[in-house]
Amino acid sequence: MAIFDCVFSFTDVYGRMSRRNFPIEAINSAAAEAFAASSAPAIQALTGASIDYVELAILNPNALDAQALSNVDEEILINIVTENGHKVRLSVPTFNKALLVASGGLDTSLAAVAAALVVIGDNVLVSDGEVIALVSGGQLAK
Amino acid sequence: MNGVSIKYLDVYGRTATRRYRTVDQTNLADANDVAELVVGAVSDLILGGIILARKWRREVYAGALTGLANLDEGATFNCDLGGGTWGFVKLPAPKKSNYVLADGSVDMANADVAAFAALFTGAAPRFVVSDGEAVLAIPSGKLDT
Repeated sequence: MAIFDCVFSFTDVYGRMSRRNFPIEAINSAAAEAFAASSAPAIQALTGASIDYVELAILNPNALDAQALSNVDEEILINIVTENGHKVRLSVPTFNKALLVASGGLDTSLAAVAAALVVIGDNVLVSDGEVIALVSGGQLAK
Repeated sequence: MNGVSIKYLDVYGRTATRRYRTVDQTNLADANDVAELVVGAVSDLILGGIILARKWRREVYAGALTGLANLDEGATFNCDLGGGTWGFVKLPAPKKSNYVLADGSVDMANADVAAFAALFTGAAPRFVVSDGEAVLAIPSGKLDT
């Protein structure tokens, strides 16, 4: 059995929203998803607020340790152009400054950087859900 | 809609969380796979640690709003966890006229309340409380003061 983080969003007549956690114990994510969806009407029956969405999550504690000189105040802003031509920036804190060129820009000639940017470009959506058309590098945030 | 929230850790013990939306998937298992790719990609770019990755998928639910619904009001259900320990479930904006009695307690015999309680006390999949503790019974509830 695993525990899944389930969040219901409640909105009242004044337009105010509140998120409440209802963790689910289930054998797998498919069972948890089915249970979350089927339980929404039962919760809705008890509350006058409208349930706007159900969010289900897998929580993975991660063992990646912080290295020397890592600093959450230092972040790289990755330059992105969306499918609609919008320019946005994606934040990655505790950036490894060894991956920068002298000007503070991202060294995209490094294989590790290039590969990471491809994965981000292929799998991340930005803004209100726009597909990334181009990842054109990045720079250290000021 | 799905994505991943990554909690970064620096060497000073400070944390920062960033939420990345990922390409849409039809189930949580696939969303998890995509989120793993993003976690792996940012891992290659950072000096800091990643102490938590919350991989989520959102399903829009067509809810129904009742007049006078107010999030400042709530009902608390008392959950028997066994061994003399108790947990609590709070529900916002309760439909008071349907199942809250004159003394402010919840009518546990109400069919809707019983159906809600059964979501916690049945076999898995089920709701749990606190850090994943199973609920044996929900014997009572009351309107929050």
